[in-house]
Amino acid sequence: MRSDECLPWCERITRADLVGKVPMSQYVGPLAGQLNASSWRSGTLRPFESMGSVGAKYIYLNRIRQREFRLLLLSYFPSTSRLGTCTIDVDGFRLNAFADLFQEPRLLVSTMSVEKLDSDDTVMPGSDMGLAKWSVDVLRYCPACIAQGYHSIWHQFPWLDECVFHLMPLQVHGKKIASPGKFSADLGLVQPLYEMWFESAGVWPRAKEPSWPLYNESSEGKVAAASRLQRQLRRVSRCFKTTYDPSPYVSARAPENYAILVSYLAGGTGKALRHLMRSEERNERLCSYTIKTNREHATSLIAVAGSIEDLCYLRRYACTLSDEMPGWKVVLHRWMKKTEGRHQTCINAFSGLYRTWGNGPGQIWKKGAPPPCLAALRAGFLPCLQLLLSEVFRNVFLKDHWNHRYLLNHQQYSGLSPELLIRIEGDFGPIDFPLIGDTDDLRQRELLSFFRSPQGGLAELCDAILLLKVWSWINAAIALDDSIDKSALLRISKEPELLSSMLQTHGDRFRPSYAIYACDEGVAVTGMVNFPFKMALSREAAGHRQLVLKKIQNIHERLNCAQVSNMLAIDQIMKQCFDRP
Amino acid sequence: MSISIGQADSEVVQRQKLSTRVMAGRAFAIKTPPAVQYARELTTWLTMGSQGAIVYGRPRLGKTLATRWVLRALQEVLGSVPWLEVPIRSQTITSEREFFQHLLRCAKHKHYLTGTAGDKRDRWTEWLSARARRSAVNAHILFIDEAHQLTPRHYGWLVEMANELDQRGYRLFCLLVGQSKLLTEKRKLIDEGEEREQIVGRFMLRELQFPAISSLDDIRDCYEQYANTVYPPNTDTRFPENFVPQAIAAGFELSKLAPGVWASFERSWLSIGLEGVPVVPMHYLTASLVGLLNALVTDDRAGLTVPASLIDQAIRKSGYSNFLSAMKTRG
Repeated sequence: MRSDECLPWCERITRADLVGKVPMSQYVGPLAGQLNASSWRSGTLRPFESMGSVGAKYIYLNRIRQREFRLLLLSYFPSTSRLGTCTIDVDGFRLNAFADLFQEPRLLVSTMSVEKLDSDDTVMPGSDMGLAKWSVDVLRYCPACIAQGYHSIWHQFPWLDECVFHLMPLQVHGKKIASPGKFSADLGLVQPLYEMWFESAGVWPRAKEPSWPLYNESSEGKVAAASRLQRQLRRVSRCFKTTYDPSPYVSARAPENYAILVSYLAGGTGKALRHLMRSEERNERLCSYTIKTNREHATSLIAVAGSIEDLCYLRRYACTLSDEMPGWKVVLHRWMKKTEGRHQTCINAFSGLYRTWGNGPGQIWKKGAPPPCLAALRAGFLPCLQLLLSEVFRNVFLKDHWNHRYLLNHQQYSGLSPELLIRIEGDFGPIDFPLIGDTDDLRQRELLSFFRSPQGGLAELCDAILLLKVWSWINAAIALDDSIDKSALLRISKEPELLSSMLQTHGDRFRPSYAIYACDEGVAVTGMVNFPFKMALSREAAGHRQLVLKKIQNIHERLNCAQVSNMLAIDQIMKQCFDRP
Repeated sequence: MSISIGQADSEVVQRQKLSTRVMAGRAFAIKTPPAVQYARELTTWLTMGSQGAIVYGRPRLGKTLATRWVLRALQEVLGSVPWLEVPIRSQTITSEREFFQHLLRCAKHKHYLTGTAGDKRDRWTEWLSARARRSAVNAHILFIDEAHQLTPRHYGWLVEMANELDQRGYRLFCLLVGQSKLLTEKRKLIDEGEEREQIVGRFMLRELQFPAISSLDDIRDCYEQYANTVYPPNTDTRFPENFVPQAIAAGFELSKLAPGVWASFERSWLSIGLEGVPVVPMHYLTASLVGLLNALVTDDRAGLTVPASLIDQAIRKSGYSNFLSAMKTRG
């Protein structure tokens, strides 16, 4: 038979072949390929599906045992290691070949990776919300997902209480996951899921049907929502990367914090810092280190170990009263400004999250109404970081009235005599110290506190400490997890005692902040030894110090010769010296 | 000088390799007139909803290679239609477990060795349904080569397989390719009564006697295909250019040899004492062409002429005469 008499499709082939010089002959490939086929219902893999879910289905479809599934995975693991939490994320795992096994798109298979959810260990620095917390100790599942034959990697995040697809509370499977031996931990999920789907009746009604529903992106709006969530988490992560300066971030315990602090202030190198932190007798080494560095600086200051906290306290008070803008206050105001901007940054950064986890898409926040993040916060979803920071900062750093502590042994800085010390209250309640001076008069308290505030190099030291505190508080605030009553946090400004109780209850969660905040504990370890600090003063700071010292000397002379009982005299002195009421 | 000798040796080796690959059926499969007819029939069977067919013919006609060509070409007509080639071996697949293990191994299934007979059946059904699901016509073609070696038991499993797939909404098309004995098997099954009728009704109603090359036009078509085939792949070299590049560049056309080749085949046919239209199995056509091209290598030049004696020699060396003698003996 001539080719001219062929069917039309044959004609088509012939013409194309002749025109394009493409052979109409078919090349025959190599004789035998590798064993690379398996029984899998292609199209049933859904985004973010866990390896446990895939493994259970694979075992069922191929009628193999769990051990054989692990052996199968051996060819996809690198020869060096097959240990890890998430199989897909084991270094060198052959993802492409693994996708070929299932005949599923590689991009879809790659969503089984926990690392791919975000590039960092944590979504937010210092928080529990993050990939580092992905756990497969127990099987966590959404009943609705399980009933549809689906288990997601999202379900294994302990900080997530609800299924991101169905917004239903996640449940925990009773049994503890058995260790999969020398394999990645998530393979332990295979067994319980297999039992739930293919052994116990009714959990997934369609489990044993000859076909399962195919994944259809258009009909799976909730999966798309999860993708949005993933994108938003990335955005939040990026947001923190750009706006958060991790350099003063301190996560160690109090004594180490202090060592870091000293090293930082004294311009110590990382090597010296490690040397200090490793030392069992850190106090001696700390002293020797700081003494050694003294020789290199022009001015030496003496700080009483136990009073650093008091000094910082006075310093921030002084900064609040005055227009001085040290670094920590600049940082603080920057964050506060964000908060004051009607949570706009918050809205921008979290709008996706809010839409995903909040009241649903399509709701537009109206100007003047409570910010949507507040509603989300109250509903128990993601904490609104800006909101939290606002409350925390307002209470810790920017109070316009203070619960003062007694100021002891500060005369060497302020030049004031001990007789003028007055009674104040501590942050965590009144401190029962001897009452000296007139404490009933607010203006007198303010004035005296202001005069006793550290100046010059010591102020610089306190500013550095306060800057650490600011960053530390940022860390602490964003480290809040769902176990903390966030509504209580919002009430802190009206009920100050809440902060104290919260710190005591959740001290460990506030660790970075709390450690520094209570750094006088670390100092106390030194047995109240005076540490010689030496600060390299900037020209401006030095000039300011000279000016303030001069003014203080003047005031001191006047105070020595007049009784302070007359507040009018004090007002006059204030006007003369500072030109401010 | 030594370099040119080395190069010449290398070219000889390359031609030898190429010739061997072509003769082993591992190089390329050309579109032959019998294959086109075969493709037309298969398309009809599939579109008409048949569940199987038998394709039979003498050995060396090129049934297997033609079937592979047809099944690949089918994708152009019907879209994606998955198929699997299962060469049947008579001695090792008598039990259910072995049969399904053999199927799984042909499918290159990772788990073809493990499990019970039931496990393997389930595994196979899952594999088959997964492939059928991706098919444009919701069907999977099982190309069973040497199908004349199948026993009624095997047919029973094939029926069950087709039923299971049908339950899932897919169709199994069993393309049974084998020697003429297959037709005898069909008649035997019909004779065995109602029980076996189901097998015939399902898989054997459609039949095609695979045609051989039997005209000058057929040979011309085949030679045109050989002349236009680019081989090795991803080069700019057509198949004959591997042997007579200068002659091809000067306008030598392979298809012009067709009358001489057909005449030579006719002479061989008549010399054995056979009657009717000569039949040329594809194997001997290819072997004679490869032999002829190898013989022309030394005479490669512009204006190459091919003497009839060289063609006769190539056909003789292909073993065509022996084939004809055997055919005459069988009657």
